[in-house]
Amino acid sequence: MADLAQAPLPGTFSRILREPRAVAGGAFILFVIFCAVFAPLIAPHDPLEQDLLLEKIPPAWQKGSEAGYLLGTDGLGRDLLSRLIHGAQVSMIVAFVAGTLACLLGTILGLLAGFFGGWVDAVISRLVDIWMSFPPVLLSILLVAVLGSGLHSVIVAIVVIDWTRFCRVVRTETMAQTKLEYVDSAVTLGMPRARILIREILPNVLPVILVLLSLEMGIAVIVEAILSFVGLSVSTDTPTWGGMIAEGREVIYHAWWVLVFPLIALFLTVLAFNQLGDGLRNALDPALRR
Amino acid sequence: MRRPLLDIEGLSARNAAGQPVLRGVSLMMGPGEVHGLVGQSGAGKTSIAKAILGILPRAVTLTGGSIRFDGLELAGADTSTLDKLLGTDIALIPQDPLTALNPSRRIGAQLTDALRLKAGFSKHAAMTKAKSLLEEVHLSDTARILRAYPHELSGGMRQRVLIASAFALNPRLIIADEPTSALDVTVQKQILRLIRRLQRDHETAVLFVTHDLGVVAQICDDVTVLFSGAVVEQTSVHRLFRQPLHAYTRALIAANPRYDQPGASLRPISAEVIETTLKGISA
Repeated sequence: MADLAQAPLPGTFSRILREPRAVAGGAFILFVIFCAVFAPLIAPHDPLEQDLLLEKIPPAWQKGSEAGYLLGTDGLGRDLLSRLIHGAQVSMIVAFVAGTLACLLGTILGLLAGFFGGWVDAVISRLVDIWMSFPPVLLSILLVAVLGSGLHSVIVAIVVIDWTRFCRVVRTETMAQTKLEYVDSAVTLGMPRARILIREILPNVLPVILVLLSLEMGIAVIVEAILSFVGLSVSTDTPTWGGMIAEGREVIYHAWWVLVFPLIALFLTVLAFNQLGDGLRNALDPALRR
Repeated sequence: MRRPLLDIEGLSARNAAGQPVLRGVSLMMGPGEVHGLVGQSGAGKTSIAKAILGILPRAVTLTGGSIRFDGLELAGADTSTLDKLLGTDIALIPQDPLTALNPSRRIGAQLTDALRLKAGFSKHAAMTKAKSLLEEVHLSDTARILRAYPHELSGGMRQRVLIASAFALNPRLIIADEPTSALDVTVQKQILRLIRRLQRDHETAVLFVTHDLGVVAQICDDVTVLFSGAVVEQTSVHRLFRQPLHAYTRALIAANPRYDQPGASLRPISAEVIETTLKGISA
């Protein structure tokens, strides 16, 4: 049977569970979310508590380690593990809030452009073209500089920059769906346009959106880390992975762990989002399905 | 002839490049008649069907002529006029049963759309009606089918569902856009018989779009032969095969496989015929 004959939604959940990369990625993300939500309960120490007598203690398996400080401490004697766990909060908030908002904005505009075509499409597509010709990292730094630092600005910057990813893909996919006969059938039944778009077309575009959303969350985590690294994200008394990397850079020659552990956390989280996205693509994309 | 149910007069359309898609097509159908619309690919068959339904692609624009359904003008009509007719008085049996059903909605939901949107059926009443509609198109195990997603059904079953859906509100005109082209020959025959029977039972007029003269012979009363957007011949099916008047029609018949004459070879339509036909149209 043709690929179109495959329904994108029914049986979706069990198909995702059969996709090892989606399961592994998803499980790791759940773990990070768990850490973020229960950070105050899990973290062995206060992430802000400084103790200059305990500065730059190496991780537990190294010589000179101190009991109770599994991953060692940073240059101000703060427990790295606790800071990592608390740092997950900002990363997850940014990933989910910024990712979801960018997804909503891009999806709505993409659906409109793809479904109505004509001048609606022309306006939205030109907007996307113009938007995409700005270098994204510079634009986000500029935006945060203008809006002032803080979590809100970081989220706004990511949404403002990354909605275009969703818009372009959703537009193309919506166009392809709109040409299929089931849409003609719905039109000839006099179904209202809005209902056709939301009830008939959107469910068939949804798999693509979910895949993109997962990849976008990974990107959001990186952008937040970059902004934290240059000091444009939340204030320095909130632990963030990007901020920890910046601090670790200063002591890299005598305390490598201060830099390496947040880097690993960042790397694994982004990798997990990407694996989840790829796994979802395999599970949901009819063209890749056997 | 009684007052025509569908009266198309001088219908012309062109595409975005300015080339004519339809050149002054006229066509008349009485209530309960089955009218065949034949021609090769690109002859404008589907464009006529879509023009009636008001779903012409954006690139194609009507440039003249009229489409009257029971006296009511459809060409250039606003959506509210069309909305009143479509689904209730005019229904569509689409071409490709693979794409004509939404892959992510259950059959039951799709089959009850017209009933609920157009006739104000309650959810429960619509489901009961849907069940009897499926029985009418000879689908058994209706409870399972109503719960199924399109990909769980075969092509023939899906086409039956679409036929059931078209007949749901007892329309006066059904536009069947190559409803059997995507099916294999045995299923094709069953589907044709089904459409024929339902059409007779409900006294529905059917505009049957097809490229297959064999199909026309089986199901139609009258036929319009299109070539490059123009009508080259319009006659009863009986006359079409007995004494085709136009050279193109004769060539089209000769190019069709004849099951009653297995030894006869097929003759492709010659370039000469196409050229003279084209000249005749542009003149």
